[in-house]
Amino acid sequence: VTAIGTLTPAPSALGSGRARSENPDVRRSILGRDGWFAFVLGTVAQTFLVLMVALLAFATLPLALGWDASVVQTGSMRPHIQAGDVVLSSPLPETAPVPLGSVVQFEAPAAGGGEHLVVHRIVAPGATDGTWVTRGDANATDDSTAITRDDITGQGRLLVRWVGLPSMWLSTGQFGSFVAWLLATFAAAWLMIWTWPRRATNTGDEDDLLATPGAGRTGDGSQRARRTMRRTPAILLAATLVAATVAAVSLEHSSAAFTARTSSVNNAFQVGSWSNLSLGRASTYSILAATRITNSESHTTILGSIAVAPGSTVSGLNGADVTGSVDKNTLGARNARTDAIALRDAISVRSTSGAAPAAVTGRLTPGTWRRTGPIEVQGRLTLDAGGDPSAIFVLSGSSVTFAPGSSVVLANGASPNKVFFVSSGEVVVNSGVPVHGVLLAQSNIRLERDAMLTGRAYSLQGEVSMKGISVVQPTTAN
Amino acid sequence: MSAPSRNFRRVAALAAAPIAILAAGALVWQSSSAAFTASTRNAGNEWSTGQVDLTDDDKGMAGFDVTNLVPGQTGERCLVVRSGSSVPGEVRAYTQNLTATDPVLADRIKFRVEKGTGGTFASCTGFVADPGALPAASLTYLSTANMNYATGGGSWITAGTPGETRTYRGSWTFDTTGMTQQQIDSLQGSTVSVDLVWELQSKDVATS
Repeated sequence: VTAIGTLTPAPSALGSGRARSENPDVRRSILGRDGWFAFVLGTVAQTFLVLMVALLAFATLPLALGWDASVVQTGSMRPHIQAGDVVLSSPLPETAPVPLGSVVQFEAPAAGGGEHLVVHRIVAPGATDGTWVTRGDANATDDSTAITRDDITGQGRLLVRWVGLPSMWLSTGQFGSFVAWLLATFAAAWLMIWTWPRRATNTGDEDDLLATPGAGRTGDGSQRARRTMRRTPAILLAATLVAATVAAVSLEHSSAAFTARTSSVNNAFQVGSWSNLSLGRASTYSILAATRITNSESHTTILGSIAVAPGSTVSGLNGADVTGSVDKNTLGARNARTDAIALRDAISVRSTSGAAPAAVTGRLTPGTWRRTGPIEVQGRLTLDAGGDPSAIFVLSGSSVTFAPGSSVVLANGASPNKVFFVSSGEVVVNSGVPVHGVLLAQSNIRLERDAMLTGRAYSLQGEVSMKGISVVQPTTAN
Repeated sequence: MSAPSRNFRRVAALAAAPIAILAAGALVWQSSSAAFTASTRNAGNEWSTGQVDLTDDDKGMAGFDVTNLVPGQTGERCLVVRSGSSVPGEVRAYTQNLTATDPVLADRIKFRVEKGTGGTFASCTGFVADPGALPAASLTYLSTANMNYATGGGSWITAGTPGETRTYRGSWTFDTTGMTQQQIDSLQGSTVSVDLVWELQSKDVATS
C-alpha cells in the first residue's frame, strides 16, 4: 500500500516537461518499466509475498506432525509473543516431566463459564502436589488458577510472527487493517508480475510507470503471451495466500490475557467468649440471702436448702418447712454467694438482644432483654425456647415485679435453670403468682402470700422475705 | 546512468525467493528460541510499564478483623479498587483461602459483596450500590461458588482508561438463627478467615 502511495505522485512530480526535456534516457533508466525504481519495487513485492508464503508454510506444515497451532490474541507474553503470532505447540508426552520454566498452552477456566486456551509460562510448582503456577511474561502477578498436567495441551515449540494477524483482524472486527493488508498483497502480486524481467524493448515511453500492464500497447504477441503465462501463477499465488491466511481464522485462538490482582487478605472473624451462666455452688440452695431470711406465715414449704451469708439470721421457719439444710454463714453459704455474684457479673456482660418494655407480657423468645428502668411482668408471660432446652432468657431491670394475677409459663423446652430475672434493686412476687426461673436481686426479694416459685431466689445484698409460699427447686441437670 | 540489465534483474528475481525463505526461517528460529527455550521469564519486566495493574485503598490492612463477635452482630467495609490498565478488561471478585477453626462458624458468617461508587476504606459513607448484587451467602458457600476468576462475581467491565475505580462494599452478619444456645456456645473463641481477591483480566481482543 505504501508503495502505491508513493508511486502515484512520483510521475506527476518527476515526469514533468522539464525532466523529460533534460534527458529521456536517464529518466527511463530510473522510472521506466525496466528502470531501477520498478526493479526495487518489484523485488520488495516479491520478497514480501515469498516471506508470507514461507511463514504460512512454517505455521501450517507442523500440523501434519500432530502439532497444534493457535493464534495468540493478546500480548501478555510480550515481548516474546505478540498478539497475532501463531504458536505451534507439540503434545506433551505422557512420560515427559512438566516443563517448568517453559511456555505451554493449557486450558483455563474462562470468564462466564467454559474453558479457553491460554499460552503462558510455567513459573513454579503449585501449592499442592501436581499443580503448577503459570504467568504471562508481561504480567505482574501469577495466574490465579493453578494448572494440572491434564490441563496442558502442548508445549510451545515454534513461534511464527504475524501470520495470525489477518485472521485476528477479521475476528476482532478490525476491517480497516484487514482491507489494507488485502490491498497490499494484491498490489504486491501485480507489481511482481509487471516488473518481472523481460526482453529488452525499444518501444520508448509507452512502458512508463503510468502505462497499464497488458493494455495492449506494448510488445509483440508472443511477449504478451509469455507475460500472461507468468501472470497466472502469480495471481493464483496471491489468491491462495490470501485464502490460506484468512483460513487461519479457523485456527484455535489462544489467549495470553493480561491479568492483575489486588486482594484483602486475612479477613478474620473471631467469636467472643461468654459465660454459660452457671449457678455454680449456689445451685443446691433454693433461697440465698445476704442479711437474713424471714418468714411470716406458717404454711411455707421449701424444697431444697436455704443459706444466709454473710448475715446469719433465719426467722419464722421451723425445721419441717425446709427439706434441705439451713446454712447460716457457713462455708457453703459463703461459697454459694460468691458464685451467685459471679453469675450476676456474667449476666451483666452478655450482649443485649433487645430492649425490654416496662410491662412484659405475652411471648418472649430466648435472649438478653434489658431495661434501665423498672420492669413489671403482667398477665401471662410465656418463655418460648423454640425447642432448644439450652435457650437462655435474661430479663433485666432496675427492679422486677410480678404483678398480681400474672404468671410465668415455660414453653417448648425452656428450662427454669436458664431463666434469669435480674434486678439491680428489688424483686417482688405478688400473691399467688407462679414464677419459673432464677430471681437474682441486688437488693431485697419479697415473696408474697401463696407465691409459687419453681426455681431459686438469690438476694446478693439484702434479705429474702416470705409469707407462706412454696419453693420448688428444679433439677440442675441442665 | 543506465537501467539495470536484464541478467541482473533475473538474478535478483530468482535470488529474492530463497533469501526471503531463509529470512522467514531465521525469523521463526529466532523468535521461537527466544520465547520457548529460555527457561525463565524475560528480564524485560514489561509489566512494569503498567499495561495492567489493579490496586486498592486498604494500604495492606485486612478489611475485616473482628474480635469478640457476638450473635447477631453485623458490620461493613468498603474497598476502592482502582484499575491502572490501559487495555479493556473485566474485574471480578472472589474468595480464597477460607480457613476456620470451626466449620460451623464459616456457615454462620453471612457475607454480601456489592459493587458501586463512593465511599472509602475508612468509611462507607457515600457508597451507592449498583443494582443486581447477589444476596448474602455464607462464607462456606462463597468459598465454593466464587472461588476463582471464572466463577467470580461483582463483574466490572473496565474500559481500559487508567485510573478507573469502583467501590466494593462487603457486609457481614453473624447469623445464629435456628441454632440452639448450646450450639452457639460451642462457637465461642472460634475463628474464620478468608481472603477477598479482585482480579482483572484483559479482554481477548487485539489492542494494537
